[in-house]
Amino acid sequence: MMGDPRLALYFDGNLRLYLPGDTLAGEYQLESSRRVPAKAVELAVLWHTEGKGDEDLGVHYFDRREGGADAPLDLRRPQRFSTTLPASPLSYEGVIVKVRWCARVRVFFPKGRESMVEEPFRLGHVPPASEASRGDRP
Amino acid sequence: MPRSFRFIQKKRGDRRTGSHQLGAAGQAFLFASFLLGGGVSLGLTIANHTIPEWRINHDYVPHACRVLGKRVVEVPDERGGFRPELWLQFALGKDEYATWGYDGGGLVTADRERCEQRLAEFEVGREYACWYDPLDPNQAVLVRDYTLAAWLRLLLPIPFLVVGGGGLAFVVVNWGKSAERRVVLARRTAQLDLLQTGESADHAFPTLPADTAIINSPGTRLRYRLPPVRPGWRLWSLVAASIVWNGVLAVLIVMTLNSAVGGGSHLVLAAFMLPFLAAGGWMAAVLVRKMVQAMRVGPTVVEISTHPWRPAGRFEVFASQAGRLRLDVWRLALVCEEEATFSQGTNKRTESRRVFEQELFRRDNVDLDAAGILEHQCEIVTPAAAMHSFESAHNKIRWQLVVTGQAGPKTGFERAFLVHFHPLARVGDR
Repeated sequence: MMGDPRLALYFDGNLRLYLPGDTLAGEYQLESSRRVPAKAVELAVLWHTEGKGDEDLGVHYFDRREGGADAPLDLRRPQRFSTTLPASPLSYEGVIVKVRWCARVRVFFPKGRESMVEEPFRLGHVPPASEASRGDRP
Repeated sequence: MPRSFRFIQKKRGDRRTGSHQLGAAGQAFLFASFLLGGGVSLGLTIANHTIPEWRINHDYVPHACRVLGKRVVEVPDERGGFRPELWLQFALGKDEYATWGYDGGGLVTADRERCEQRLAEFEVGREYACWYDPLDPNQAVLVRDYTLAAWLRLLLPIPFLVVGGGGLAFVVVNWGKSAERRVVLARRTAQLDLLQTGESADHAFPTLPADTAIINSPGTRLRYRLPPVRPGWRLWSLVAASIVWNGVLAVLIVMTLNSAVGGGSHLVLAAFMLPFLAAGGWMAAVLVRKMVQAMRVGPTVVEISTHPWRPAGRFEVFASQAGRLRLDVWRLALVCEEEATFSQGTNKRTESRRVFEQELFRRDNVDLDAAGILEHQCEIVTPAAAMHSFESAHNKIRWQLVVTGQAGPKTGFERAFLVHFHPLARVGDR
């Protein structure tokens, strides 16, 4: 709907592939023509599993900021973030287990409303896996 | 755009696509109900049993009374029992009181005879010591003591209070918190656990499994001896299952035979037991074959020169096999398996898939009985772009050195030994 605020998240250089030890940096903001007061905002850089197994989640970087009752957050200005990525776990596209990395921003508005945006990225160069038949030779 | 909560949810295992807030509200309602139920039950128990018994034993005033009658009263409640009562008469100053009483209602029993035995201890017309309630002299007792039941009843609401209170506190603490924030708070709580003495993963490489079992196990030929993944549990499980099944079957057989010898006809029962007999016999045969195989196939030892392993690295592997049989094939391979655990209804299921297999060594037609022991040492170059070992609550990626042997079509074994594969520590590491 026209006029609704849109939460946007960008990585510097629009990179999507990183190596262990690289710096993941970027910014997020609430794109809106009018001021939308927010109670709190959270940024997380995390990995999660997908596939047949139940989902597991691990948080590498977490930042939460809260606005006061008299001074709610104004997120129309770009908010910067930066973190050094760990050595593991690497992104992995397996047969029944997948490991995926992303940066996730949540904005909490008054009256229990919430917005979330997520941008995936790859960590490492691990190629996709396929099921091996017995006796396979490299 | 801010989203409102969704009524319709889809659930597969622990994954939900609906509203966390609605789910949390439901949980809060459930735990609050437990807490309220436990609290009301505790309150009623204290008010109706604990306090009255306490007052009888502490507040009631001693006096003398005359017994003028006896009766056994049927208690019209769920206990479905009987209670003894005596008609008491006593005077307080100018006031005369007469009331039915015994012990304040403590003794309720399904055994009517027991009530009559208690009443037989009192003679009508005689005077006895009694105690009356100073707040209401119409309440009086001839027997007073603490009953275990009045205090044990206090324990019954405790599980409801604990579950309800604990669950409600959990919901309140996590109310409105995102999944990421809950993970961070849980991690901080775990780090505060000063008494934690269990294995902890390497913090430089999160999600890598603990390696205490490897580094605390020195080898004789190479530096580390790897522990087996499943040390004989399958065989012991088969032993236990076979003993239980055939034990129960043996008892049934004896009972049937005894009955048949006694002249009874149990052909139907005997026929019904035939498939169970067949299953028990098959289980015993498999167990015997497995045990003979385990005795003939001796221990397998695998040792490595370095731990942990990394991509494109060179490592020495030593394997030895003892036994008293002739093997058609003896093989050592490096494999990688994915393992996923998921909820299916109320059950947990685990599936695995092998995604990498590299044969390191193979010998055909080996006579272990003559050779005594088979040994092999070789160098392995690990794959350059391999995924590292990974372990989380429900998902694993495991690298193993697997030794397989085959002696005929029905005699084979496979023994796996975990190795830990680490990622490169820094960019450019090779």
